[in-house]
Amino acid sequence: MNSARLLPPLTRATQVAALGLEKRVYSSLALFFRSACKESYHLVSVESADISIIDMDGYKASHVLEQHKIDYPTRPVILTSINIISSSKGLFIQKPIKVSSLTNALQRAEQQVLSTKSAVSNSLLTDSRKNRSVANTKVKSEVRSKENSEPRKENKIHQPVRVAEVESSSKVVPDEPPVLENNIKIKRPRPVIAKVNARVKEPQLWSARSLDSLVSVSNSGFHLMSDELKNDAITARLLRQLQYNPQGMLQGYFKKAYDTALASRCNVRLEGPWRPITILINKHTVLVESNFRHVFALSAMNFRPEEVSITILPKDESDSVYDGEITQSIEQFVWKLCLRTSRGKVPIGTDLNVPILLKQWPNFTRTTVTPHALRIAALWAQRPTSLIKTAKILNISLSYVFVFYSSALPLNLLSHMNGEKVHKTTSLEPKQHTYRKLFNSLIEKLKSKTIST
Amino acid sequence: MANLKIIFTGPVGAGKTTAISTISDGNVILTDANASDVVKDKKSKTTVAMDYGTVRLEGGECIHLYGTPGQERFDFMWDILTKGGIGLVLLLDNTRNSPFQDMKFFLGQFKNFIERTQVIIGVTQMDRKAAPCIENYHKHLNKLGLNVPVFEVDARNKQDVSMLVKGLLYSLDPCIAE
Repeated sequence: MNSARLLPPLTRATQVAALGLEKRVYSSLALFFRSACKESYHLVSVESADISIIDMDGYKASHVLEQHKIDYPTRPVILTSINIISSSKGLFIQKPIKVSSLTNALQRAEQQVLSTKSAVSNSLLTDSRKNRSVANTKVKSEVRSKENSEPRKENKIHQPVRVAEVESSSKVVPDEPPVLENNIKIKRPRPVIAKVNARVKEPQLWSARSLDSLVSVSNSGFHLMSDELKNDAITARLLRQLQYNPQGMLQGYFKKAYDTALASRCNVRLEGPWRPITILINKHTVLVESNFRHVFALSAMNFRPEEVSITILPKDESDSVYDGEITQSIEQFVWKLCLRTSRGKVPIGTDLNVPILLKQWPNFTRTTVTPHALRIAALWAQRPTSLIKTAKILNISLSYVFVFYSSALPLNLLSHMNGEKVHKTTSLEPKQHTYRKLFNSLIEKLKSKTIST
Repeated sequence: MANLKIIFTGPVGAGKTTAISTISDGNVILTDANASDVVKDKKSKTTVAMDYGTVRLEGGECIHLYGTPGQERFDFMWDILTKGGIGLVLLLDNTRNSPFQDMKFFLGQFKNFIERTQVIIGVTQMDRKAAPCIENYHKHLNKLGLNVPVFEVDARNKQDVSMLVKGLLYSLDPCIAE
């Protein structure tokens, strides 16, 4: 039964406000809504929202919540925290936030919005219509409870659930019991053919604006990372905020899956709260069920090892079964995944003052080019330069340097240099070319040529 | 008023003429002749003197793009063409029997010019023949002690050719504005 016919659907995307979230989380949420939820939800300011999400671990969070209750007494609130919070205060999601719990909470909040709206309109109706409405509500709740026990059908509002559903529905009993390696289930052969609907348009140039939207969403009340990055002094507190740990993220799990594929010389499937990813080790390519963007949208989230499984596909399975599927080279995939995971941060443990050498240029015509990436590559290829100094020499935000570094490092394109000799060369800044002005004009001209194409 | 030169080189059929036409303003001067030797199996016409195109800049300056003839018997032209050049774009055809030998040959021929300036490599026809991959080119370059940009390109694609030229310019001066 189609639930959309019985439940009055919201005619527009549900408006969601996020209060007190760290900027990176905020950006991830925006991406998640845009990609995985197909814009069923929009992040908006607190004034115009239907639902509010409040991070209770944020500064003065209790005060924000109290004020919110006064300003918007009927609005559903979803609270997030590391610690468990009483459900009387609102819907609650414990961190680390799982896709399924977030979508469930959003759906419950949506239901609250709908029931509030229907209560308001009902109060204007006659008694007889009120009675009918009560009867309808009963039917709705019955249908809803039935829906909960059945797989959900295609519905715009409920689209996010599919992320979790695909995962659970595609699970196949393995031929052998799963082996636990580093807390990740390694399953043995399972003959499944992956399908890809993705169309990948290359090359993709990232404008400064689009990267800024990832690294520095400037909503009031959120951490203004890019502003602080303009300052010379990187405090220990800021450094912690500028780092991320890829281990628990898709990047970390992909690395493990790739290592498994290399060791077994078999194709490997990586499954989790994202669409299944298959590594075709002999073809050196990656294919994704559904769109690559769906996978990338989840790149900034943390997942528990028990949510993830790595399946070694049968050795006798020919690569030809994947012919015609749209794939990406492993380098291309890793580059994109890492830059989306980084979002202007660096992996934990990065020394910002160690000179970096570019051992090999990325294939910039066939991958995403972040702002200033060519300049950073050219500088590092010629003279090892630290992350901090690179930003100074090129007069750019550290975010751009960080995102390039974080993408190039896993592909083994970089070397960390040490020693006096290196320090001597890095102390020299690149000499200004005689024709710098002319080069600037030519760059401008080339830019206009490619834009007009 | 400065007028700069960028040199496009590479073996026959690598896409030099096409690349120059792709980013030039106005008409490109071609010195094509009917191919009479082994080249005719690959294409009907080939460059015998040079290709020439221009990119006109706002201040009235002009960037000259010169394409060398690909056949080795015209290599006496190469020295003449490189005079006053700011950098080299080396295009390699991935479908040829030994693209690494081509690479080594051209890098050797233009060694003095590259030492004074910079070089960038564009590999064409990778859609027709994926191997060797870009990684393999880098491995061979390492053996030659070079760390230069290598991009997969379609010489007909403006974005690709522009990216090559941009890579060359940033290699010459990373501090130029983006």
